[in-house]
Amino acid sequence: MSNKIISIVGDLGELTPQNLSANLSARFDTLIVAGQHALHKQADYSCVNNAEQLDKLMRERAEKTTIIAPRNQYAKYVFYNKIECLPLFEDLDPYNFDPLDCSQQILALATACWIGSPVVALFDFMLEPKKETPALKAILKIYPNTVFLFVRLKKGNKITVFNDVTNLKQMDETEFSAFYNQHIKKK
Amino acid sequence: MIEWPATCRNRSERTLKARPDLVHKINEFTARVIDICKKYKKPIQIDQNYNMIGIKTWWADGEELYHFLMTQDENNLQVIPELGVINSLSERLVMFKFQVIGPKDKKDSILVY
Repeated sequence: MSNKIISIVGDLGELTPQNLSANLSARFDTLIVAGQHALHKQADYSCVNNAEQLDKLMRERAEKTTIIAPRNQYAKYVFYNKIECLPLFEDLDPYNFDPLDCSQQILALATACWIGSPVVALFDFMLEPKKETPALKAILKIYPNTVFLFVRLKKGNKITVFNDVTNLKQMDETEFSAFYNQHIKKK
Repeated sequence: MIEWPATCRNRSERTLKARPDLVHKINEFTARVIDICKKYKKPIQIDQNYNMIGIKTWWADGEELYHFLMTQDENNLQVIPELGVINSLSERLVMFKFQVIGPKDKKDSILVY
């Protein structure tokens, strides 16, 4: 398992194989996608907690992708290759984290944090004030020593909802490439 | 875990020392299990430690294990309906129970829970 930068692709749906630049693709060290995201065939892992999506993914998955599913859904595919059961998220236990009752992008983020890396980059992440953004911010606070990069394809205004989060940097694709190059040089 | 023949189950090592007939039966049974396992392509590890219940086996290929479980009747074997899977992420053993619920030619004839 590479621990350079773990990249997560969320549920927004803006990033597709068609608009994914070679520049960005080359900087995906370990790629985790939310469920059936358009990039699932390029991913190392796809995190899924929806039984229907899991059935589809098991039919369509690429050879390199390992599907990660909650225990009760994984049980159906125990005899298949390239599927694993979600790990136990011990760090999130005190917060009543339920892998069956969160979005697949939050599940992908929890998995990335469980795997562990000093830098986790979030792409194509959907923000929604009721549940998604608070859940995302909660996880960012649980891992204060991890640097999270909130990457958007194009330059835009800073998202103010993250103003109180010290371990998150907002950037566009070009800034991410520059950050990545610097980060890799440091190693 | 493949259960020993009924007469050999739950026998302590002390009992076995006094019962060469049972040891003979256990050895014969083990040899038969090894022969069956040899028919599969991927290597199957057979636990060398004596267990009072039966023989523990480790499989590298899920499909082959599925076939083995579905043919236990014709091989005259009885497998305890429990299986452990080593999670490649956490490297932990995750335990499941299972039940054969359908014909052997179908892919979803084993219910795992």
